Amino acid sequence: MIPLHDWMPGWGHWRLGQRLKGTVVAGLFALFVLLGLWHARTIWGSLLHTASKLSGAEVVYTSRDLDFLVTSLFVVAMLVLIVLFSGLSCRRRRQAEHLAKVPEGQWSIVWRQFQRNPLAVAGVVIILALYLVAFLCPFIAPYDPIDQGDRVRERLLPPSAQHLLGTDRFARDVFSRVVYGSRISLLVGFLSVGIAVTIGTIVGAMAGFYGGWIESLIMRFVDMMLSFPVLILIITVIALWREQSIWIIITVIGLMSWMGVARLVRAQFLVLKEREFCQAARALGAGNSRLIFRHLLPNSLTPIIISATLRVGNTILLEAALSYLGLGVQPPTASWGNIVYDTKGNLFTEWWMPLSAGLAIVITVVGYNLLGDGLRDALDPRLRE
Amino acid sequence: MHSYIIRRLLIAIPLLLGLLTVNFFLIHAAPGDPTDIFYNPDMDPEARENLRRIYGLDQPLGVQYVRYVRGVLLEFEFGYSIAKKRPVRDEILEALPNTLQLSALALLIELTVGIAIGILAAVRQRSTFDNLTRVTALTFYSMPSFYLGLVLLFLFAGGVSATHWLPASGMIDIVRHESMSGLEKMGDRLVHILLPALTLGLGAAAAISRYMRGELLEVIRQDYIRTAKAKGLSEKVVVFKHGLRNALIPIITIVGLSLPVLFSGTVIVEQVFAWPGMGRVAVDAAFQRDYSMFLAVNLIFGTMVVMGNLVADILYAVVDPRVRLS
Amino acid sequence: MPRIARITLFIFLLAVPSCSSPSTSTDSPDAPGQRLIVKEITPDRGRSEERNLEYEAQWDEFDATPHDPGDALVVGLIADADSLNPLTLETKNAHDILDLLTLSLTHINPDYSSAPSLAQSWEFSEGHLELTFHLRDDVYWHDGVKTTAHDVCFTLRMQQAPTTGYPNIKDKQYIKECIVVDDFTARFTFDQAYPYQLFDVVDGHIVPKHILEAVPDGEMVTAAFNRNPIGNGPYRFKEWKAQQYIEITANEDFFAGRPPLDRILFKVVPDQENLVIQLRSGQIDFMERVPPRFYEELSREEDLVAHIHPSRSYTYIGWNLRDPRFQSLKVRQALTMAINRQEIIDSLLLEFGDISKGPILPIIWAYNPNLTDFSYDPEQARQYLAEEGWKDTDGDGWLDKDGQKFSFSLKTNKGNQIREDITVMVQDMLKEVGIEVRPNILEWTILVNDSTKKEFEAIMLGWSVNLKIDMTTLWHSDSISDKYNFISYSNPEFDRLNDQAVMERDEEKARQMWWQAQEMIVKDQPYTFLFTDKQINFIHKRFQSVQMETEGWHYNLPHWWVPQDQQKY
Repeated sequence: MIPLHDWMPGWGHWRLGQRLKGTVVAGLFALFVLLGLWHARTIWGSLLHTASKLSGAEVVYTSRDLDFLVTSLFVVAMLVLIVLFSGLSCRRRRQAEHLAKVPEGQWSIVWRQFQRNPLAVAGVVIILALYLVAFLCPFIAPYDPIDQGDRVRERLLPPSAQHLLGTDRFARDVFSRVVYGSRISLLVGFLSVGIAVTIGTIVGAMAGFYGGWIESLIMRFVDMMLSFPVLILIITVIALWREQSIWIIITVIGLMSWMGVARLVRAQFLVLKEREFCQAARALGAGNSRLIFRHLLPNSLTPIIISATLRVGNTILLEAALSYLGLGVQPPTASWGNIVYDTKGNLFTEWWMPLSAGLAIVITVVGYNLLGDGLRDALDPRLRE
Repeated sequence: MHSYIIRRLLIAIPLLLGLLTVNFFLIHAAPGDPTDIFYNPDMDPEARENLRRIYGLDQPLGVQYVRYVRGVLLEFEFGYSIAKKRPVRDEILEALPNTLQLSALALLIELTVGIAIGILAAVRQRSTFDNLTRVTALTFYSMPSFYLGLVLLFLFAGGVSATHWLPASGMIDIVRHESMSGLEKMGDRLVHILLPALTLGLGAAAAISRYMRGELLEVIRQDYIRTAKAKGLSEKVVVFKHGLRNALIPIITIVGLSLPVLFSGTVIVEQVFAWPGMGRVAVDAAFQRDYSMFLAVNLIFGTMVVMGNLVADILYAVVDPRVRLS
Repeated sequence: MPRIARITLFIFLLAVPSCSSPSTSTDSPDAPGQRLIVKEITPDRGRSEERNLEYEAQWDEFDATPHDPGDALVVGLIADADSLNPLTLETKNAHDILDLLTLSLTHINPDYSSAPSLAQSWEFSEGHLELTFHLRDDVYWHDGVKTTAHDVCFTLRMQQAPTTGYPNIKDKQYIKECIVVDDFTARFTFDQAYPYQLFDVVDGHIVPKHILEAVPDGEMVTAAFNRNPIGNGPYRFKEWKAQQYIEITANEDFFAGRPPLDRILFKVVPDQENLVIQLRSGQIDFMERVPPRFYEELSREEDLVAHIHPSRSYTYIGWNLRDPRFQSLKVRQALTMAINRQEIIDSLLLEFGDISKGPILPIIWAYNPNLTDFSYDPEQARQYLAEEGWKDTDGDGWLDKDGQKFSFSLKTNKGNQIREDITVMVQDMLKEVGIEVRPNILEWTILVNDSTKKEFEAIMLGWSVNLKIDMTTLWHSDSISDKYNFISYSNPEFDRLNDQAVMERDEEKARQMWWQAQEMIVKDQPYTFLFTDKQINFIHKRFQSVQMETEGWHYNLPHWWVPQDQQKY
């Protein structure tokens, strides 16, 4: 039976002495409660609207309504999850306390090392904040990002209380657009790295595992791909194929980013292949695929993860560069890159517009890099002092 | 040593050939007909065919490929730019030196600033200086190059109360350049190239400084350094004489690897500053669907990267004898 | 020194009128302290083969008076020229520069009458089937060779040859041939007489036979001459650094005397904000087509003079009539009514634009002032759309019919901020009535291609209205397979009317027919006619004798000069 106070986010942890964890959990819970209350009417309205739509009523249900639904569900879900987490985490802690020693898994060592590095923690905070913003867009952005106001009287307004970053040429609220832009960056970062890591791992694994001429061939291919100036190739592909949807951009960026991962995985496999555990497994009669999937890959995970994290920043920068040239996401969808593209013509007069969107990119990429750096330092046993 | 160089050269050749091939087929796989640009219903079919013949587009793909490869390798012939109405080679010969100038200066900035900061930060590890530079370097490293460019433009070329300290575009003062003295000419060029080179170089400098710091720290922890210090040599001597040399070795490879990024960077930077180089040409070619131009641009960039890597590899071998013998 | 010319000046206190009214003449354009020059619309007479000796006298007077030579003019261009070969160029910038480098047979006056240029005089034969030009004998190509009738006839031959790639080849289709009567007499023959024979002949610049005849067949498009031209005009070509600048210098041996300005540099700055900054800081002296949003800040600059005149063009959205959705009249009318054109003008063009209702502009003599207007009425638009079966049956906010969402792509060209902005506005306006618009901004040549191949759904472009009134190229059914009627408009009644009007020599009768024809087109709304705008040019005040015409800002550039004490370079 879990005591009641364990379910209260934060309280349980505090009582157990885990101050930091407790504060964080409590803080997050408070945040969601506040959001929930502030937007209570919107949340309720969104749920009702969806319900009526699902029950067959003839109402107009736009993609913006869907947006609101997702965010509302998110807020509700988070509230529930935090409470659950609180209770279960505290129970585990209590159980562990009965044991003589707290078992230290590899990851908790890493976590502890990580925590000591303020920059790394800053990175995590930034990334989490980014994800929160991306999920909570409709609640954070005061206006619909594609809504054009009075195009004659409300265009190019300077920052004010009503429009934190002013309005653009089409009388759209720039702050809202920057907020929504986070979604595109996240999507692109996440998915393209996903593609890159998948391809890179497969290719690198094959090269590292089989060796011989297969390896040579593959690595030559990788070398060749690395010689291509990535941006130019991406521009070539997008401009030639005349398509500018976000999925094409994600795919192309992913296809251009796997080479580094491949090299890494190959190097790992080469090293691991010679290690004893691998020889042992072989002696025991393990087949190739078993060897790869059960032994080699899991042990290569760490560098892959670090590499992936560091790559996300890169892909976000690539997407921004494409948008700057006009090849990115198309209007009216807002992405940080295309906000800069739209507003660079006003650089000298309404400088806050391009510079704020650009700053968002910088902060995000800094966050991912700090995280990646932090992970690398934490996982490097030599730095443990 | 020579065999090493020769081996690397031999590997470079199929690489280039591979580049050529991939490019060629990539571009011809794209939808659309290269002669589209001539589409003029007023033009009678015979004239159209004539044009196709001139551009060699009437041959089967394989034949075109062979002709293209032969043309490039033997005569530096890249065909005609349909959009710019001139041979591709002429356009490239005008644009390439401009990009090389820019990249060279950026590389210089990258190396001097990057290495200097890296060394200082390593030597004063964990000091405020170190932390400050680490964060600054990270920020610069995380900036999209157009952002840095826009900020610099804003600060120096016309934003903040219209400060026109530095020009916002162009390579020279076109009206007065001819009548300038030699020294003035250099000054004029410098003033125009400064902002774009800084934009291109600072981001990379940040990356180099991170690596430099890491490598130097690695080296400093080695036993032989401790021995040297124990022997009584001063810190400076130890770091510079022993540590630096060893730390610089991997930097050479980093420089080699940073070349593709540098060249990709010129695409954006040249757009921001209207610098008439290969990056601009590349973007124009993309938007104008100028197939022959594309091929040439991709090829040139790829070649520069391969060459750069080759040089880096050779330098590496010169500096580190272990590599030569492997 | 005051010059008497047929232009009208208004101090900016008065509102700038925009309808047609005959011009009145007053004073000089460069009275000291005058920083704003506004041109009124002067309807052209439509028949411009005649000369105007008044103008010619003025030029002779100017040429006879000495003016301080020296100084340079730096012109800001937003895009580089593509070729300086009269036979292959396609961009307007190239055309403007070429006007200074090479002569045509004749030259157009501000009132659209013709003036002698390379040709001293010309006359038609009795039946109008022959047009003979008598050329000057003192014009030399910049390499020293004399310009003769051989060059003139060679030019025509090259223009008409399909392998040259001359973009306006259609203009030369009614000219039978060019005969060299003697070194300085060229005779053009025609299959039939029609109102615009002179125009068709003089369109384009003359090229040097002794240089271009060596270019192999079909290779004109990529000839070295494209980048290194030899002309015979007041300026000679000096240098062209791709994507950077083009430099031309005064031709000392020009027959009318050396033009005062030493050099003209065309600086390529591919960004409008940058151009404005350079204009303000003095790095460039002249900028053409300044976007209206910069007008205010530039008009406050003490050193700059504004020239404003109505442009001879209108902007429109063309609906591809092969697309079944756009084949419905009501749908097209609804689309027009759903677009708030006045708001577009007010926010993007400020006070420099007017709604354009039809295919002919007020400056043309045959303009019909009583056209039906489809003003902004989204309610009505929705109604029409509903009547045509477009309703939101699935409740997602977009109209649909037979399971298909009403969504189309709107293509327009890159590099024109105003057009790009309009696509975003139109996207929003049509969203209000439930139609989805997907903007597609393309490079100019690609766009033209797509239009010719009819690969578009909706396209936004502009037309420069020609001096001659001929709606055939755009609206006639026969033109569907050609370059310009790419929307595939076909109306047999209109065809008949148009063919009659084109051949009608009685001005009054023709006017009536044209009025009717315009009304027909407007009722059909094959385009949504958006607006016609005024062009804003800014130039540094030190340049004297500047007279900019709708024809071209460089109309009398060879006459511009800077007083010695104000020279900058």
